[in-house]
Amino acid sequence: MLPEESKYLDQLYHEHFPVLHSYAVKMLKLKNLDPQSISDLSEELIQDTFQTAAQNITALMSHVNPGGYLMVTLKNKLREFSRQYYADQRLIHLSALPADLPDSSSALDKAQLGLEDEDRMYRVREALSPMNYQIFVQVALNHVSHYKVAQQLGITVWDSQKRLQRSRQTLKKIFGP
Amino acid sequence: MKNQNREKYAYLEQLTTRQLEELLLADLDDDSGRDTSEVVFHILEVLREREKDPAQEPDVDQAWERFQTYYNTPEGEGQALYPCVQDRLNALQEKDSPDAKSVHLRFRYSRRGFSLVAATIALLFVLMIGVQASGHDIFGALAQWTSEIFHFGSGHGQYYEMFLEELRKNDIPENFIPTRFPNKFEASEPKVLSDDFGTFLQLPFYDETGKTFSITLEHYNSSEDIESWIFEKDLALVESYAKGDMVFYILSNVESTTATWVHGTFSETIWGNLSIEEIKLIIDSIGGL
Repeated sequence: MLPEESKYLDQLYHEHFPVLHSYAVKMLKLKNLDPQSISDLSEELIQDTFQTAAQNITALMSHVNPGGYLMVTLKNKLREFSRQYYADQRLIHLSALPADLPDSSSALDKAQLGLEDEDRMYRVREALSPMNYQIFVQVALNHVSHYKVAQQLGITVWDSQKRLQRSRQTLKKIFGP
Repeated sequence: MKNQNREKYAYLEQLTTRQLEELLLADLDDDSGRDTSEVVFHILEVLREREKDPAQEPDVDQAWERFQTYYNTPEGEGQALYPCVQDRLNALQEKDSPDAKSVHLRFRYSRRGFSLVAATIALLFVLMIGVQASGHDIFGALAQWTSEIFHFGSGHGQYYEMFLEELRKNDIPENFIPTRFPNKFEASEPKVLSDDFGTFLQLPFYDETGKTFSITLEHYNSSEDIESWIFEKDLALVESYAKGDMVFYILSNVESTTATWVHGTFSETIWGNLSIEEIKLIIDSIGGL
């Protein structure tokens, strides 16, 4: 990034972070997220918003409404967060179904045959490496930020994100419809 | 510019916190990529004024440090924690792009049970953003509409308090009655009547032109006494309208509108020189907004 681009990003960040933070916190509250997760996650969503902005900095410097761009980006991130959450929940539910369940079984039968939570996670744990399992549980299920998990495990935020992506792909291959 | 925008969005301050939150959720659901940031910023401003929680103010300098150290790194080049469709992100970059001017509406009524008022506001909100982009002053029209419809108040003086006291004496729950009414009407002395069938309580309202409406609560000794008369009316049935578990049946003719709810041995009637929209807003305020 060129020095003037970096300076512009710094300006944009300080100008818009408070209102974006206010929006992210409000929306996560309205989505009934665990209050303990909201502070971390709202910041991480904004950090990711500015990460996207940084990668489009040249275009952003001549944008007619950079604040609007950031808000649209943050909203897209929030929607993606919700989408990922439901997709992860579905994966866990599918992992709890007996492998030999006939396809003709009704959805209700399938639900009733679902295991208790501890057993439900057994197959997920078996399918992933210990570190990837920990990241999956913390980020996907417990809504801990990649930043916090990365600090706990001594890895980078992007390593955490790549491991989570790989875990989802693995679980989808094994348990997906 | 800021002051002009304050006036432009003054109508937002007349909406309840819940209505503003519903608008935010509806806006989030609208994934057309239209820029509604101006209105969203003002909604957040109104909510921040009401909530006034300084503990929530973030430390931006520390967040910037974290961004530079942990996120905006060479390893993060081309990456995103929550990847989005790039063309949506870039749509706003071009002023003249079809996306910026499109009025394609993909508003989904929520899964969460909007009240009709909230859904109407949300629908207008989404529509007006698109039309505004083509140069029409929808905000002005909405402000006028809002001023007429939402000029409701909650403080109704001694007669309202007397009515509440009568409800308590007669074991009628206070959360059965509305809390907000059109400001142009003033409450008058409540009427109480007890007979062999039960207890009848009425709170009448009048405005300066002589128009009137009333809130009537009846507590019958037996539910059989209600059924004999409640629907003997020559008014046209318009629709049913719900507030939680209370379903009101709205009937109307040229001169008056009636909304009636019956449950067990209770019945409530809102009757008078009101529009259907006004009656629905009164119903919405039952039990507090």
